[in-house]
Amino acid sequence: MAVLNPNIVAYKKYNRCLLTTVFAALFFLIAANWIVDPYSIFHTKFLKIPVEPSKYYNKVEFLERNHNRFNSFILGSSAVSFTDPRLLERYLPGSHFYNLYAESATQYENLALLKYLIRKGFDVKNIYLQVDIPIALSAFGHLETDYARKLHPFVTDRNPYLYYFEHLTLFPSRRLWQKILVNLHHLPPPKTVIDFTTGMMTAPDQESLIEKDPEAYVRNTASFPERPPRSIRGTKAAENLSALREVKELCDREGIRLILFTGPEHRVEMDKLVAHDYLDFLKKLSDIAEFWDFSSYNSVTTDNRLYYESHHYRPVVSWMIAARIFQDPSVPVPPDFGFLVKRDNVDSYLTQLFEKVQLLSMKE
Amino acid sequence: MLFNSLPFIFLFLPIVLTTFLTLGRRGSTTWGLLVWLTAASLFFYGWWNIPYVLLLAGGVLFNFIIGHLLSSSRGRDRPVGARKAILALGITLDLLVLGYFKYANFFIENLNFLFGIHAGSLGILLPLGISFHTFQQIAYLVDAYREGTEPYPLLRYATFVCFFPQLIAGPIAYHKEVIPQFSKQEFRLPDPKNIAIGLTLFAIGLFKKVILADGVASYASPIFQAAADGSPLAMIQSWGGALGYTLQLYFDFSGYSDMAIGLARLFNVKLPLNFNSPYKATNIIEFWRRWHMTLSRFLRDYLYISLGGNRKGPWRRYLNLMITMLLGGLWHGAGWNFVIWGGLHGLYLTVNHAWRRLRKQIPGLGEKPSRAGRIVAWSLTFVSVVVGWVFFRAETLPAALTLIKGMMGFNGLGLPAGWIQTWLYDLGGLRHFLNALGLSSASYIPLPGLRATAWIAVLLFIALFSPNSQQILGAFEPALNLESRKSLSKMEQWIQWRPNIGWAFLIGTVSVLIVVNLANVSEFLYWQF
Repeated sequence: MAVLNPNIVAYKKYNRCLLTTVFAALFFLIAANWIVDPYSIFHTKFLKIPVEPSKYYNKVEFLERNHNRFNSFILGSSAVSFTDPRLLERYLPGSHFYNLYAESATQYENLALLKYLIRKGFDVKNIYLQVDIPIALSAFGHLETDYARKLHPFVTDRNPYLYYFEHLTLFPSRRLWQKILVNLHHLPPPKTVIDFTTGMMTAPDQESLIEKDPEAYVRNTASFPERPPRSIRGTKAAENLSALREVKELCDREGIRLILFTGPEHRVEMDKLVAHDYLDFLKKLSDIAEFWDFSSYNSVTTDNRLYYESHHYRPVVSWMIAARIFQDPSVPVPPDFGFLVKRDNVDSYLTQLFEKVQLLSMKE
Repeated sequence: MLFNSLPFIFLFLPIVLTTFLTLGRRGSTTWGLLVWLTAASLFFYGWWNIPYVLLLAGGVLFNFIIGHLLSSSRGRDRPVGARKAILALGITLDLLVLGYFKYANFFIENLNFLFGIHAGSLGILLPLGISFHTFQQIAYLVDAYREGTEPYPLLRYATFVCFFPQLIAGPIAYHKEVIPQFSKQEFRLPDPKNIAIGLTLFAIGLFKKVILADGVASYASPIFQAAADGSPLAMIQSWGGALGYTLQLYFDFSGYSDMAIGLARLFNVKLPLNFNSPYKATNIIEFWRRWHMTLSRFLRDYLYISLGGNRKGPWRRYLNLMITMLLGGLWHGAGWNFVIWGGLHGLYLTVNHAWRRLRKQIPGLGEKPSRAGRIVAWSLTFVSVVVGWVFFRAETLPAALTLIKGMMGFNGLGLPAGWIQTWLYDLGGLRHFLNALGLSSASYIPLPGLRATAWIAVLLFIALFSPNSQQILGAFEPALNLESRKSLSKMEQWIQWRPNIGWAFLIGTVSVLIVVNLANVSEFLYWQF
C-alpha cells in the first residue's frame, strides 16, 4: 500500500482544527447546561422557573444545609410524594419528618439514602418506608444514563466534581428546550410543584379539578380505563428483598423505628402484576419485617377519584394510610384498607388475596 | 479507569500526553520518557485497585528476571535442561497466578458439584487485564528461551508490559514488536502526524464503543436475561438478541482495540492490528485471521505449534486445534459456556480444515467458488459465529439452549404485539390459522421493535460492507501487521482519511457526540478478562 506523506503543516493544521472543533462545541455545551441548568443542579437562576428539577440532588442539598432540622424520613417512590410529612408528626410527637421520596426509587435507592443519612450523622429516629410493588418486583437500581434519577454524589460517595462535570457535558435536548420555552412563557409551567423544604409534591391544579368535578376528571384521565396484561414478574424481587433486609438490619442496629408498608397500587397497576410473583413477594417480605399491606384490590385502589392517575394517589389516601397505621379513629378508613401482615398471619392473608385476584380475573 | 470516561479523556490523557510531548520537545532522554510512561501506566492501573499494582509490578519483575536468566549471555550458555527448567518455572508460576485469580472459584464450584462438598468460594477480585499481560510475558519468556533474544533493560521491559493503552485488554503485543520502538529517535520526538492519526483512531474507536456498541446493548441484554429466566423466546426475539450481541461484541472490542492503537500512536508507538472486519469472513479459518488477531497468533505461535501444529498428520492437527480452541475458550472466562464456545470453534476449524483437504483431493471441488458459493460460505460462517456467541454470552448452558431453540423457531415466529393485533383482528378468522403457523403475538418480553431492528440492520451493514477503521486510515499505516494491498477499491479510495479541514471537522463533531454520550455507563465486554 502506498504510504502517503502530507507535510507536517497539514498535520498540525488538522490537529488544531480538530481540537478547536471539539473544545468550541464543548464550550457551547457547557455554557448551555450552566445557563439553562436543566436539572437545577447549578442554581444559576438565569431561567427562574424550574422544570423537573432533580429531586435526588436537590433534596440532599437541602438536607445538607439543614442538617439538624429533621430526625425522621419518608422513603419510597413518587407514589408517596404527596404525603405531607407534617401529617406523620402528629402521630409521632417529637418527630420532624422530611419526605425524601425519589422518583421511581427502588430499594437500592432507599437503602443508599438510609446509609447516607446514617453515615452523615443525621439523628434518624423514624423511617416511614413505602414499598412500591410493581417497582419492587421488576426494577432494582437505575440506569446511570437517567440523570433525573442520579443519586447525589454524597449518597454514592462519588467525587462531586465529576458529578458536576458530567452535568455540564450532557445534552438533554428535550429538557433544555422545555425549560427555555416555559421560561419564555411559550409553554405552561409544570402542573406539580415540589417543595424542597418539606420534600413533598403538591398538585394544586389537579386537586381543584377533582374537587370541582371528580367524575369529569376520572373520565378525562387516560390511564384509568386501561386493561393491561399481567406482565410484571418478580425478576428483581430478590434484589429488592435483600436491600429491604439490609434496611431492616440497619434500622435495628441504629435504633431506628421502621414503619414499613406497601403502597395502595391503583387497580390498573395491580392488573399488571403476575399474581404468583406478587404474592410470593409479600410472603418473603413478611419474613423480613411485619408490614402494613395497602396493596391489592380494595375500596381505595378501585376508586379512581382517589388518584391523580394510576401511579399516584391523592393526599387523602396518605391520610388514610397514616390513620390506619397509627390507629387513628378520627379519620374514616374503609375496613378493607390496610392489614398488618406478620409471619404468623401471612399465609391466611395471602390466601384471601389470591382469591380476590382469581375472582377479578374470572370476572374479566 | 475506562478509556470512555470523562476522567480519562479530560484529565489523565491530556496530562500524560502533554507531559510526554513536553519532555520530548525539551530533549529528554528515552529513559525519562519511559519513566514517565511507566509511572503514568501504573497510576492508570492503580486507579482501579492500588494493591494490585504491586501484583503487576511483582509479575513484571519476576518475568524480567526469568527472561534475563534465559536471554543473557550466561543464560544462553546454560545446559538445555537448565534452560528448560527455568522456562518451565516462569511459565508455571505465571499460569498459577492467573489460575488462582481467575479460575480458583470455578475450580471450587466444580469440585462442589462433582463431589457434593460445600466449599465456600474465595473472595478473589480478578486483577484487570491479568489474562493479557500474562500471555504477553509468557510469549517473552518462550522467545527468550527459543531465540535467545538480547536481554532488555528493566525499564524498557516494564514499560512494554505496563503500557497503559494495551495493559487492560490488549492487543497482545509481542515484546519484539514494541520494545525496539523505544530505541528509535522517532519515539522521543513529538510528531504531529502520530498525534493526528492517534486522535482520529481514538475517536473512531470511541464512536464504535459509545455510540454503536452501547447503542445496541440495550436490545440484546433483555433477550439474554429472558433466556436465563427460562422464558420461551420466539424466533424474531431470539435472532434479535443474538444478532444484537454479535454486533455489540464486535464494535465494543474492535472499538477498544482502535482506541488502544490510537492512544499508543499518540506516544509514537505502533501496536499490532487486532480486528480486520471479521464478519466479512467466508470461512472460519479466515474469521480467526480477522477476529482478535493478536490472540489467534499467540495461540498459534505458543500453543498450537508447541503441540505439534499440522506437522504430525491431519488427525493430530485436528486434535491440536480442539485443544487450542478449548483452552482459548477457557482463557476468555472461568465458565463452561466459554469452554463450549471454544469447543464449538475448535469443531468449526476442524471441519473447515478437513473440508479444505477434501476439496484438494476431489476433482472439481478445488476450483475457486462462485459468487453464489461465496455467499453460501459467508452465510454458513456468519451463522456459525452467531451461534457460538450465544453460548459465549448466555449465563448458563440451559439459557443458551433456550435461545438456540428460539432461533430455530421452536417457539414460533413472533411479531411485535402492536403489529399482530391489528393484523389478526383485521383478518378475523385467519387468526387461528396464523397462530398455528407460529405467528402469535409476543409474550411479555419486548420484541425488537422497529427502531431496534433498524439499528441492528445499520450495524450489520457497517460490519459487513463498510471499510473498517484500519482501512480508512490504511494509507497511513496506523497499526503493525496491516496486510499490504496493491490497490484500494473505489469505495476505499473515496473514504480514505486525509489530514484536511473536512476530516478534522467530521472527527471533531463525532468526538463531541461521543462526549455527550459518555455519561452512559458501560463496561468493556473484555474487561472481565
